[in-house]
Amino acid sequence: MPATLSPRKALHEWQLYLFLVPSLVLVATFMYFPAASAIYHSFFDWQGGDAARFTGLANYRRVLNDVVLWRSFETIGILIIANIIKLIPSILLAVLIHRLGSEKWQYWYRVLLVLPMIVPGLVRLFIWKFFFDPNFGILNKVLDFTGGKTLLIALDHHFLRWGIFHAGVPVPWLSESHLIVPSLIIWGFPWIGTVGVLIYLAGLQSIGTEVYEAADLDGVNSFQKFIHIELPLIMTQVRLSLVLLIIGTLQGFGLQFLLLGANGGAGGSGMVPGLWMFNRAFSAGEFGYACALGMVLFIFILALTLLNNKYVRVEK
Amino acid sequence: MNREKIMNLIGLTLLAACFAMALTRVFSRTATHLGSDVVTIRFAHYQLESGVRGAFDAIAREYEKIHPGVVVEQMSIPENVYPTWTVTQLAGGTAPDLIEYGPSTGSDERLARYFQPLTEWVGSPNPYNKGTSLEKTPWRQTFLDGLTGWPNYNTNLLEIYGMPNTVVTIRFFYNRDLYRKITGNETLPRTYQEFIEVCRKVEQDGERITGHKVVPIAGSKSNAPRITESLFCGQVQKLWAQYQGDDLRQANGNEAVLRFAVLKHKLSLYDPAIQSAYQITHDAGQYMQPGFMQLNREDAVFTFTQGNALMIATGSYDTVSLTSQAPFEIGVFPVPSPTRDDPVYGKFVFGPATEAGAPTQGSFLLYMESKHKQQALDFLRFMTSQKMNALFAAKSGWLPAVIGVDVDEKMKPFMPEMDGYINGFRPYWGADTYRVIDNNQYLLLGSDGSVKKFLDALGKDFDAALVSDSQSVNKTSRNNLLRQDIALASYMQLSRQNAVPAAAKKVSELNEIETKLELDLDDGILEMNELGFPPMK
Repeated sequence: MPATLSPRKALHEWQLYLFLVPSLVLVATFMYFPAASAIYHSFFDWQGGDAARFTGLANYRRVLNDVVLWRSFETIGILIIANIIKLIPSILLAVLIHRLGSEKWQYWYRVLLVLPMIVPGLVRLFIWKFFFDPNFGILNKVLDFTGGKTLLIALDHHFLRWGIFHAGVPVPWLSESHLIVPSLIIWGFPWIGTVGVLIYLAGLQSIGTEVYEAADLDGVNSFQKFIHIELPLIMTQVRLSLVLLIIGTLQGFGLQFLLLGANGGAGGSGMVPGLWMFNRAFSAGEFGYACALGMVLFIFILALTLLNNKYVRVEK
Repeated sequence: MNREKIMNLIGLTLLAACFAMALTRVFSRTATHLGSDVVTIRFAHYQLESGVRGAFDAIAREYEKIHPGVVVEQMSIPENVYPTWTVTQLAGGTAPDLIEYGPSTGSDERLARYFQPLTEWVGSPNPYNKGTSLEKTPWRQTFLDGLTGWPNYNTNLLEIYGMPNTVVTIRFFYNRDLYRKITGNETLPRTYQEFIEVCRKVEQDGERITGHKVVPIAGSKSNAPRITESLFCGQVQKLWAQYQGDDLRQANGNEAVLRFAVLKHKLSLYDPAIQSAYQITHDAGQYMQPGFMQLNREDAVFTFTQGNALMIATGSYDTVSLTSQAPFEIGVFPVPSPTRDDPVYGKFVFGPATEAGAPTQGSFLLYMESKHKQQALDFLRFMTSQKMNALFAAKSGWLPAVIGVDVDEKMKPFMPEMDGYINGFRPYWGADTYRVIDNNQYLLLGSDGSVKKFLDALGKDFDAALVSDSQSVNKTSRNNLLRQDIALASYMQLSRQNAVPAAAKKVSELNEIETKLELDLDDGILEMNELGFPPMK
């Protein structure tokens, strides 16, 4: 346990604390003030600008009956589960790179992973939008070439009964209600996040070689090493990724906005809470209500983070 | 110095150089504003089409020549982010002096709150028209439409807000070579039936003749409404006239009558005219490429200019862009709509709609909090003078908005067609009804779509959205009334004190505006109360 300082000793060089002031001012201005303003305006009928009319809890009462919002949580639930599953490729790649015998090759694979980061996220989104183009997009061309389209037609005909896959008709990924959520899940394939891989690699590299030697002596195979050694020892990083993933997925709407527009696409299937908040603010001009939606979202994120901290335990 | 230190030094130097460059660029942009004698006028727009920025730039430079000490800065914002950018700038108090009218600027609430009404100045001649035929003409009357309607004149606030630069008409641009190859002639469709025949021919023979897949119409979520809304409005002409009665004489009509008719179930979305309107839009949608609803305008232009579509419907503003991108000759023709003789769709129409009401557009609004309001207003006068509008038209390839400006030969097919009938109404009445219709359009326009599926899906969501939009309209009326109250009270006081000569006239004008707003609000509240809904959100 760190030794405690007496208040007298702590304040002995009080002038040093002044160096914290600029950072605190910036954090207060750009992080806490907007949040406080949002909390304040959530109790107002506010359409942007300086005119606002106090309405008490009216916005929150409206949130309780907001069908579009609650439906959007269903979509976000599916996306959270999908994104959790999408953590796996990053973990596997980190393990594969970690197990490479040559340090030189490990370095080059890390470089190859980091290089795509220079492409702005927005550009990647536009490229994926092009992939989804029904007439020129690579996704439909791959499906036609590999025969995947035939499989989808059969699946649709016998099981799904959506009536959207037809021979000779390009698949409209982003303009068909049933395909929007699958498109949002497919986005980003093969789902290898550079930052995630690097974080897991850092965790894996802290595992000593003697652990692997002992495992080899005990006749442990590769898969068992992963399950019993590597995964438990990177659980701290996985837990961090999980928290960031949940927060990011709940808050995020940039992907849906770019691919589907502010109304959430066909059938409103792509509507997520963040996008609904944006829609209310910028399409309907209901900034006060959008702030109230933001507060509700904040409560959800807080609740899920607390659950994550409680149940995703890391054994030291 | 060892290798590692040298590499680190190179990296650090590169980083420092990039930072220095970025700093220089940012500060050099703001340095021109720091000179105490320099007045900077900024104007923002979202017209990134070929030639337009150059045209605005030329006007700005001409203004700077005759006004040394004034710098005019153009801000071009991409259309996708323009609504968000505008709202953020307005709410943050950092908006440029002049902002182009666009999505998110045009609501009554935003106009009344952020923009300066120009009504008091439009009655005087534009000094920059001196020496021309418009020298003595009031500024308002120098425009082709006399600023009588949207987007320049707001019929709720009874004020003029926008000063336009162009007139926009919608046409079909077509690939002349491809048209000749597929149809075997150059005869353009004059009726809706002939148009559908051309589309069918493209579908049947296009691939055989050209060797690759060709769709009749390049569609996108931006381009498709050019056709579908035009066809929809045509089908509901008689219905609109039935509900407007004497109000047919008004430029914009009274859409509140329709809203409440739907809410009271006196008018149903299953009305034969409305069903016919959706049917014709469904039919048009079948001739666009699959999945067009997910595509942007650029995708449709790409499809057309690559020779994969015979036609594209878009505004006259796209003429220069399309002709510069397309490797083939382009022709134009108007969007054919059904006449009374049409065997399928003639029942509900008067006839093709007139473009006499085609509003002047590309309008700029004066930001109320502008630090250089008078200078910005002066620049607006300059920009919309006959000489500068001619320069704008010549450089941008767009139609002029000012009377007496010659129209280039190649732009003459875009001139508004005056003969015709009033058009019908659009199928949505606010942000929420638009959202519900947008969300369900795939059931109408998709390859498996139908009017029944679409209307059945609209169901309860549409009613709830209509209630929400009606409540928003009432709230906007109330907020505008509150805002006008302050101005009215101030002018009444000034008038009593005889402090300002024009105060009495202003009181009279504001009273007129307030009366209209109050009547609209009272009607709206009464109707909502009768229906059992809260009048406002």
